[in-house]
Amino acid sequence: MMRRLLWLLVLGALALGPAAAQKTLVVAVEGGIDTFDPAFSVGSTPTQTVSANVFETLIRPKIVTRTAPDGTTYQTVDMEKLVGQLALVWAFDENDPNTVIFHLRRGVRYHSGTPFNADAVILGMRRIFETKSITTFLVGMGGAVTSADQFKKIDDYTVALTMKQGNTLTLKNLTIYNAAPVDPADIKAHATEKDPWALDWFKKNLGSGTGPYLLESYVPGDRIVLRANPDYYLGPPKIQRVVMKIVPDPAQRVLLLRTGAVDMANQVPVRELDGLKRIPFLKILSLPTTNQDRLMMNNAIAPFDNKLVRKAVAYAIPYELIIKQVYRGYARVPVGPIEDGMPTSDPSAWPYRYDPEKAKALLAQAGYPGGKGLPPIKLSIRIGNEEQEREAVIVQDALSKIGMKVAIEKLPFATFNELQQGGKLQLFIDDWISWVNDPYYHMFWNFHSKSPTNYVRYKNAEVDAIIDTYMLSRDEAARAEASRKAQRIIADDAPQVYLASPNFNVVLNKKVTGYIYFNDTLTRFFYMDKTP
Amino acid sequence: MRVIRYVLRRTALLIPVLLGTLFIAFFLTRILPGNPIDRVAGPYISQEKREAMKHEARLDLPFYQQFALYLSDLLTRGDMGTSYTTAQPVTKDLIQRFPATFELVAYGMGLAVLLALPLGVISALNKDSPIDHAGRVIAVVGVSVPVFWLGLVLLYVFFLKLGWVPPPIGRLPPTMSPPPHVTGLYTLDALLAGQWETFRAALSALILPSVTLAVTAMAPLARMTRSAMVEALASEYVRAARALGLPRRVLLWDYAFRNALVPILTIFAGVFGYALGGVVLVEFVFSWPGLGQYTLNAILASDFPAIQGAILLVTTVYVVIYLLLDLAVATIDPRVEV
Repeated sequence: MMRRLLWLLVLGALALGPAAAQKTLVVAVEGGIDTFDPAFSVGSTPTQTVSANVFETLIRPKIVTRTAPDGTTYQTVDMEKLVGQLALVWAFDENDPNTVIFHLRRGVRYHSGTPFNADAVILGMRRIFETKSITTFLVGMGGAVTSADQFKKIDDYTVALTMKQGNTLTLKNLTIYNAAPVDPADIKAHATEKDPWALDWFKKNLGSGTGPYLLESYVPGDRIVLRANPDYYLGPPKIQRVVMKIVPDPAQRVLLLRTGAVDMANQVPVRELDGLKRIPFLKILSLPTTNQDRLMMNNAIAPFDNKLVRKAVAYAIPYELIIKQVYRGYARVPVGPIEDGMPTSDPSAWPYRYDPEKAKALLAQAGYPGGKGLPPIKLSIRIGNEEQEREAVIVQDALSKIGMKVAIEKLPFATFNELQQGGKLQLFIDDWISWVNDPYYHMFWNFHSKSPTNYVRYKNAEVDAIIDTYMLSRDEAARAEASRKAQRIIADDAPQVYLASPNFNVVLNKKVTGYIYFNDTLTRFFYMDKTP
Repeated sequence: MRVIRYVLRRTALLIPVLLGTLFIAFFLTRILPGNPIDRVAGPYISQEKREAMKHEARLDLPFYQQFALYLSDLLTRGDMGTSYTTAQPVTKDLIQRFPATFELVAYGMGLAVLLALPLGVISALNKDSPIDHAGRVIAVVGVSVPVFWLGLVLLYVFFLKLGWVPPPIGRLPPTMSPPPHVTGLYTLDALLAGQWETFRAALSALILPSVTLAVTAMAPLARMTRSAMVEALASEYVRAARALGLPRRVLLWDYAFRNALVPILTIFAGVFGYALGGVVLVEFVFSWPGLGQYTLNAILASDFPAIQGAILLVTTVYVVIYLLLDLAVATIDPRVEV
């Protein structure tokens, strides 16, 4: 407590002192924080952004430069190349192909002053596993890592991880910020008998991390302020303060950008982008992603339990129209179950183009000529997603042209989530982006019959077998071959239809530089700068 | 003495009212599909872990048991639970959000009264004249213009085009820290702390949202003022007073207006209470971190503890406003006994 007071005094002095020299980045965000615990943060984007800037993982994907379809170059990450973060280097053990050795960075301290070392990693992993937090389910894929005991301290700065089978997917999963080891001092100070891992404290308070930023203040509903960590081991961040201003109305986020009141915003409605392009001091990064808007047909509910009906739907959708009318070109026509940009994506596997005649024929073949005999169909969407609401209208219109009458139902997101989770929605639109850019990660969560996020209840023993066999394989050629085979099988079953692959749009003041697109779409402020 | 007893009796009546609303809130949130856990848990977590989280949040219990446990926490520890959307105790959230809304509504209603009373009185004095018709038009526009649209138009004109007011970015500019917390009303706290800069910023941030609110709130007030004044001016006691040759000022204010004040106050209390619960659209447009937005988010996320807390608070305020109204009416009108 005393320490915190002292900090406040120092902060106050700093704030009054050389305030003019401070670089502050003001970002308009759409909501507040729903948990401070990095191990459990999945909810709102601001929640995740705070976690990703305060806490760090052992390894991260490499930063690379790519070229967007419109010719601009941008920086992003390549998940196929993992580099060290808190671990300086990592390598598979020469004597044991199932073991990975992490050589930790020396001299790293948590914001509280606690030294970072192998003990901190082991304790952090125990917390992750014993509380069954998100990472458990990610590194548990294929049974690769099921217990914290698989992490072993070799010496103070060396940790070994022994997996069921040596593979890179598990390592990719460890780059997600949920796997960050939290400060042992925080666990110790706030653990209680009933709550040995201080879950309650971590939920309500931001613990100390090793990352480039720490929390200066949080006024719920109003703002989240991050302050640079001056002792960061890669050097102090160039932006000293990040004010994440909560602006729930997208129209106001646009207004604030136009007037220069904020330096950056994402989640800007696509219909505003053309207008913002004309503002001389703004720049828009419209980056291709593997994100997909999907028309989800519950494979267990009639009439979508019939493969022919699903195929008919796949031929009935005017894909180009959606890209043009809903996304105004800020999206790409999706290529199939594994989107372009993810390794092994095979566009030739997905035959569906807009062809209403074929759709009608397939529907007749399914036993519903002209839509006769179809049960009532409800198309459910989340309230508040402007693009998906428009997609729903286009889908409704397109399906009515082949004789399929569809009623649109808008649901609050909590209601939508519960029904989706329970497999109770018949036909719905959602979106998905795989944070780990790996085909087996993507296929497991979406197409494996045992996955909790297989919301369409797709079930194909052959696909399950391919995923189970190759998920943890290190034979890259065989893994890729099997992935292409799985894509053909999935295409033939057509369990879902892909409506659009929206770009990720960031609007920045031209003064702001150094933005890097990560697969998790979260902004890392450390790499950014702002010219006066 | 009598007044104190009256206040106590009314306060006691608050208990069944609150219990009743709370019960309805509990019932409604739980019969609808949707629970707070799915969002907090995220998609990857297994069904077992999800069930465990529900158990921990007591959501697996029957509804009446949840209700009983909530009441016992509330009464023994003042604990309203923890919000799922902000991760903070609901009590803390409400203490933070309510002053924001109250400040906005107080300024908005203050402005509405300043505009509506003169407008109503002038209309009544010039009944069926062009001034009266103009007043009627203003009132009709006030009730029929959608509040978010009005907010957007005002922003477009006064912020974007003229640049007279600060951006719709909440109660203070993003780089300015709030004044030391005393009441939670930024303008008042800034004055108490002697921070003129902060006071000016907080006040200018209040201008557009409170004008937006005032325009919609003043319509019913102005209409009621007009009709109450018209009625009072046509009454026999005013005619008698006029026959006695009392000065116009005394006639107008001490006789007519004082009598008209009772229905005006009643409407005022209703509009005030309504505004407290209904500023959500104004808050949304102006990124105002108030209770309305908090409740809206809570409802969309099925954040049960937050919904219950907000309903309890708004109900209490509503009842208190009506209690104050009754006391005020008793002061104005000697015929009314408490």
